[in-house]
Amino acid sequence: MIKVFTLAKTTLQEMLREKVFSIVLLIAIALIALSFLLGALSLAEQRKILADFGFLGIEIGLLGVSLFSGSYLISKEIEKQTCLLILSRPVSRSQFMMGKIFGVIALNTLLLVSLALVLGGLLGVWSDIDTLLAYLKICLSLWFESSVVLGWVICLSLVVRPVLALGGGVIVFLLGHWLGDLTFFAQKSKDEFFLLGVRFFHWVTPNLYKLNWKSAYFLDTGIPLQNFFWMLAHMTGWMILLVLLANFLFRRKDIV
Amino acid sequence: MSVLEVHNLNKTFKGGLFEKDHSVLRNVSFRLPEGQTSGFVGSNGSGKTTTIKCLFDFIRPDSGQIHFFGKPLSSESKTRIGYLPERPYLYEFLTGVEFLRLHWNLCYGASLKDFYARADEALKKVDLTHVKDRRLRTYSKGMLQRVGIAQAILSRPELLILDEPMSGLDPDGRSMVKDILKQEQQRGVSLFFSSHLLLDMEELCQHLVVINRGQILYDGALKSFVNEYQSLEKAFSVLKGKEDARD
Repeated sequence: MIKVFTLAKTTLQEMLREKVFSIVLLIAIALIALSFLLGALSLAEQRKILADFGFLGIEIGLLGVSLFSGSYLISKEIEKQTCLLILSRPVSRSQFMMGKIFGVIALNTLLLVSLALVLGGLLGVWSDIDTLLAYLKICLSLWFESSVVLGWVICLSLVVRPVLALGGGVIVFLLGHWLGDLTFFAQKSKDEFFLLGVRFFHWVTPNLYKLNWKSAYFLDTGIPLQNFFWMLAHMTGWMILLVLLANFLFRRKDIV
Repeated sequence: MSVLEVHNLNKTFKGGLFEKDHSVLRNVSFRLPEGQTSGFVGSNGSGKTTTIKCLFDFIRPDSGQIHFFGKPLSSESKTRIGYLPERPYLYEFLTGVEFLRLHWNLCYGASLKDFYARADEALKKVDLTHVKDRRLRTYSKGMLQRVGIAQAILSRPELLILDEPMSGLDPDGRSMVKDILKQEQQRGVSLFFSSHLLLDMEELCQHLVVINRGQILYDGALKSFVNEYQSLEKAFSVLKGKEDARD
């Protein structure tokens, strides 16, 4: 575990020193600031606009890290052969992979905490315990979403070029969010092929549609405990599956 | 006793849709005697780097056996081996000393007992003490090669495997690397390094492994190899010519 921690720390250090964190943080803060300004244009909907755009800013920041870091995380190590020295030490490929993944997840966590503090302060979520709980659940759903997308992108980057892996990650994200709508349309159309396709997507993409909580509505009404536990189980399952798949693919890969 | 035994190693890279499979290693077998310096010589593309990558399982061989200190590669044997790849691309965002600490932690866990003394010793050997707190990004190619050697010798390994340690270095750099290797020889370390610089081989090695087109042409004492043909260069070209003519 110490080796995994050492590698995760080094990965985090790399991203902090290479200014990835600062750039993404700045973009996300700019989006939150923009939502604050947009909110100021409206008298009645100020809080709604701030919450909706603020969550979107956090989501974009986290996804940006997951997509870009994930697609180059392992492929860069293989291409530049920096992983050779690490793997020549008493470090297994699985430990190496876990270290890299935990490093990016640590960066996303740091980013989420920073942005959530800013947005939470602007929304004043600390005043009411129910709102605070709903806010934390929404933030956790964003963390899970970015982690699962990261897992997908890493798996893809082990079989195709990084740019294609990045594109694949975007497609998984979009499909995950469209699953509900696609199911609705498939049922309406009653087309067998369409229904089969949607069923297939249900199996290969995480259901992000059900986690679409990032709005003022859910902040005010709260998120039922049942839905929250479903999210924990569903997303943890996906994360475990993707980590196992990434390890399997990396173990079989020749580092030429 | 042999520090490394390679037996019948085969590797074929699968071709693409319209490409043929490419056999890069064919029944590669050799053994390295303990406490000696062994050279791994062959022309470009002969399979030197692929063989070394197979040793560490970076490339999975199709068949064959590799034994370090009489056992298959394991975490335990990895702590007894130092390695430097052909082009040491390192984590350039780290400083020299941070880079060494990373490798120390991967070998010995979080404990930094002995680390500073060993790091100082290794950095002194490669003459990089004065730049140890500078990021690797600011190092020259020769300095990167030397800090790579410092990480390889940090854990005082019993076997050092270096892939083309002198390629791309200027004469001063090469001379410094050779001096470091000689110091390690004196310490009793078994050395295995690949090169196509035959003069360096003649100067440093007692044992020689010659590879051509993925096949081992010679595995034995350098002296008897050279005696037959007067110089290593001549011996190598004659042996390689014979093999090529046979193919």
